[in-house]
Amino acid sequence: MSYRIGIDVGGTHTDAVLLDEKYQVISETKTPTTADVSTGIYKAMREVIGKSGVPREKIRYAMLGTTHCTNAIVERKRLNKVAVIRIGAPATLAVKPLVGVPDDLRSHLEKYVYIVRGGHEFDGREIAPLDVEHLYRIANEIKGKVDSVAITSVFSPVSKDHELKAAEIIREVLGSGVAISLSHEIGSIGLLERENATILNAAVVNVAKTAAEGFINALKAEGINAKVFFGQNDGTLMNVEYAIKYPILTISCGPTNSIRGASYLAQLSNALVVDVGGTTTDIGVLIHSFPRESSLAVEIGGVRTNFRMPDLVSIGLGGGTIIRIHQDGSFTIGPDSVGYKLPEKGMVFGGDTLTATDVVVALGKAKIGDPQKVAHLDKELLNRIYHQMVEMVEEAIDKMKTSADPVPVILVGGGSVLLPDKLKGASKVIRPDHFGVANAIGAAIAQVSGQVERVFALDELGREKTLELAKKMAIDEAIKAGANPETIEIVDMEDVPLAYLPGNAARVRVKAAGVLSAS
Amino acid sequence: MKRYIDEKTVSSLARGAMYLGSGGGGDVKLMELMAKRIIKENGPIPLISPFRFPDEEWVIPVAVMGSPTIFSERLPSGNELKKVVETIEKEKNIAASAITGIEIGGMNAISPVIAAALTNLPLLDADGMGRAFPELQMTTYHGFGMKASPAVISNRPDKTYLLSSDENTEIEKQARKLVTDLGGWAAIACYPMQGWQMREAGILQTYTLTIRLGEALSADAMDAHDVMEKMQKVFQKSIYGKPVKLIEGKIVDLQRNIIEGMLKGSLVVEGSGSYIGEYLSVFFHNEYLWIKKNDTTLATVPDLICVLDEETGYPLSVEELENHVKVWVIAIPGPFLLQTTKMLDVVGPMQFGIAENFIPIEERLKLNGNEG
Repeated sequence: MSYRIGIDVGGTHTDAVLLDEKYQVISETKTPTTADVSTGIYKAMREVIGKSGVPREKIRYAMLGTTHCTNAIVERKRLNKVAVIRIGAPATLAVKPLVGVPDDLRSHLEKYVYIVRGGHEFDGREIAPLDVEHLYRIANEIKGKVDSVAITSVFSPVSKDHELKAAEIIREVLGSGVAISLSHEIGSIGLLERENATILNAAVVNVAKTAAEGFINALKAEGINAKVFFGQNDGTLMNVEYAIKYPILTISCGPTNSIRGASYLAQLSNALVVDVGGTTTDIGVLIHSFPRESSLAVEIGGVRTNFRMPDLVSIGLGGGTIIRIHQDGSFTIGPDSVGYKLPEKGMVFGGDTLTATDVVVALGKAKIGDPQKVAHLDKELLNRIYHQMVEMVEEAIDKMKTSADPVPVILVGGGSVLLPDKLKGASKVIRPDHFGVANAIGAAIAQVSGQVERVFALDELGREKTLELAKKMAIDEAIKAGANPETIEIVDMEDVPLAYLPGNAARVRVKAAGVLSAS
Repeated sequence: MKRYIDEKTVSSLARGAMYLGSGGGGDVKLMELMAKRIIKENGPIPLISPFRFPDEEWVIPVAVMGSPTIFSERLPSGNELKKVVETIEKEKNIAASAITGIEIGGMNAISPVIAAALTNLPLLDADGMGRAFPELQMTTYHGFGMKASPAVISNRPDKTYLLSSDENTEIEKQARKLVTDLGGWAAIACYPMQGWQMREAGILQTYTLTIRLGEALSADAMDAHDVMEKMQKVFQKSIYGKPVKLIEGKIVDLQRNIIEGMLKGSLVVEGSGSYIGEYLSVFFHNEYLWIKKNDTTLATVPDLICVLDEETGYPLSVEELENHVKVWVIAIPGPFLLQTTKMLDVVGPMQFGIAENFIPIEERLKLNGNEG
C-alpha cells in the first residue's frame, strides 16, 4: 500500500488529508493559515502524518495547493529582478509592455524592457526575421543585473520558434542560473494579457522555488521522500520542476481543488458545488468533473491576464459570518466574519458574537458547541435570519445554473452545516463524508493534464480532422507531463470561430487529463 | 464653443461605443489605451461640428478593418492610421482639414481619434454607420452616392496599398482580401469627401452622442436596470429613438458558426421575473440582427440590438456570449437615415438574408400590442 498527502491553503485554514492508493481518507486535519503560508503548511503536514500512523516511507506523493505566488504579487514582495523582452517589431510598437499595470508593481518590473524585431502572423508567416544580434546585445546588457527573463513573441501560440531561439541566446549568455519564462507555455492569444502573465510568472520564480524547496525539505525532515506536485488553477497537477518554471499557473488553485474534491467525494461529474467556508460561500459548476471556467479576463494583483479561472460566485456567508440584530427587530447578515476566531468568538463556544453558526445551533439544525448558550435567543427572529441565509445561497445557485431545470448540489466546506437538506433549484442535496476537507482531497487526487491552444485554419483539414489533431497534441502533452496514457480523457474542448478571416480560422483549445503514472 | 477630446473623453467614448456595436465592432480596450497614450503625448484633439465645416474642405474617414482577435495579438506599429490618410492626400492631391469616422460602434469609434492625433487634424463629429456593420459599403456614405475610392490600406510602417474602383462593393472585396494577405487586420482610409458631401451623406454628431452616453454610464456599480434608465435618457434626445427592453432572463441556448468568415448563429433567452415563460431568439451575423418571439419578429437590423449582462449592464459582444449568463435584450431604434429606402437597400434585413421588411421597432411594438 502506498499513500499520498494533499494540502490546500485557504484564506482562513490550511487543510491536509492523507489518502491511501484507493483514495480512501486515512486522516485529515485543519490548521489556521499563517502569514508566511509555509509554517501553516508544515504544521498541517506533520499533523496529518502523525494522526494517520502510516509508515513514512510508504508516503509516495505530496500534492500542494498554495497561495505563495498570489501573495507575493499582491504584496509586491520577494519578486525577481526581471527583464521583459517582446518579439514583434515593427508591429506592436504602438503599445509598450506593462501598459495598464499598476504603478507600484510596474516600478518593480520596468527597468529592463525591450522590443525586438520578429514574431509571426496568425498563419505562421514571419512578421520579420528574428533580430538575433539585438538579442545578443540585450543579453549582454542584462547579464548580472536580472535573474529572470520574460519572453513574449507575437502569435507564439501559433509558432513558438522565435521564443525558443531567444531563450537559447539568453541562456547562452546569462548561463543556466537565469530563469526564463516563455509566453506560449503560459497564455493564449491576446498579446498584452499573455505578456502580462508571462512577466508576472518571471517575477515569482524565486518565491515558488523557495516554497517548493521548503516543502520538500520539511517532508524530508519528517523522513518522507515523496514526489511533490503543485496544483494548478485548472485543477490538474504539475511536477516541481515545472511549477518552479511556471509558478503563475498555481494562482487560484484553491476553488478548483474544492470543486474537484467535491466531485470525487460525491461521485458526480455534473453538479453544482457549494463550498461554505468561514467567511464566504463559493458556488461553482462542475462539468465533466472539472470546474466550469469563466470567460472573463482575470486580474491578478491589478494586472489583466488571459488566464481562465473557475467561474465562481462568492457570497458573504460562512460559519463565522456576524449577525447583527437591531433595536427595531431588523437584522443584517455579514458581510464581515469572525473567521478562524469562531471557536473563541462564537456564542456556542462561550464568546460574545452572534454568528451564522450560532443561529443554526439555536434552531437545533446542527450540534456544535453548547446549545444552552444560545437557548435564550428569539426563535422566531432566528428563523427569519435562517431563511434569509438560505435564500442568499439559493439566489446564487440560480445565478450559476445553466437552465431552469433543478440540478444536484454538493455541499462541502466546514461551514456547510449552515445549509438545509433541501434547497430551491436543487434536485438533491448531497453531503459527502469528509466534506470539511474537500479542497485538500481535490489537491490529493488531482490529475495531470496537457493542453493545446492554437489558431487553426479549419478549411485545411476540415473541422473534424483539425479537432482530432488538436486532441492528439493535447494527449501527447499530458503524457509528457506524467499522465498514464490509458487513463487520459479529453476534459475540455472548445473551438471559437474568429470572425473576418478566410479559411474558417478558429481558436481551438483542448485539454486532456489522466491519473499519474505509477512509475 | 470649441470642444476637445482628452484622455477622460476617450474613456467615455469607448464606453459609449461598446453599446453602439450592437454585438460587434470589436473590443474597445486596446484602442482606448493607444488613444490615451497619444493624447498624453500630443495633447487633446479638437472635435468640430459638421455644420461649421467649410463646403470645399476635405475630410477623410478612417477605420481599422479585419479580425479584432488578431488585432489584439499583432498590435499596431503606431502610424498606420497616419500613413493611410497621407497617402490619400497625395493620391488625390488634396490637403485634409479633418478626420472623421466610418463606424461609431465598437473599436472604430476610437481609430479616427488616433488618426486625428497622429496627423494633427481635428476630428469631425460624424460617422457613416451610426453603429457597427461588417462591410465598407454598409455606410450612409455609400448609400448616398459617395465613392469609397481611392481607398488606402496599411498595416506596416513602411507600406501602403492603394485600391481604386468605381464600385464601392468592389473596394470592399479587394480590401477584405488584402487585409487577410496582410495578416488579418489593417488601417483603412476611404470615402474622402468635401464638407458639403459629408453633411449630405454622414450621420452627424454621433461622437457627441456617444461621449454623452459614455459619461452617463461612467458611474461604477451599475446593473442592467441602471444602464437602461441612463440609456433611455440619453437616446430620447437624439437622432436615435428610446431604447426598449424586450426580455430579461438567462441564455439557455447558443449556436455559433463561421460561414464565409462571418460569425453566424443565434441565442435563446429564457425569460425570468415578469418575463417568465417567454422565450426570445436573437440571430446574429457578426452583429445582432434579428429578434424573434415564437414566429413574431420583434426587431430587425438596422435598429440596434444589445444583449446586456444583467449584473454589470455591460453589452455582450457576439464572441463573449455564454450559456447560463443572465441578460437583458434591448433594442435601440436606429438613426432615421438608416431607415430610408436608400439605406435599407444596403443594410436592411434582406441584405442579411432575413426575409422580412424593415419595420421600426416602435411600430412593431404597436403592431404586436406589446408596449414593452
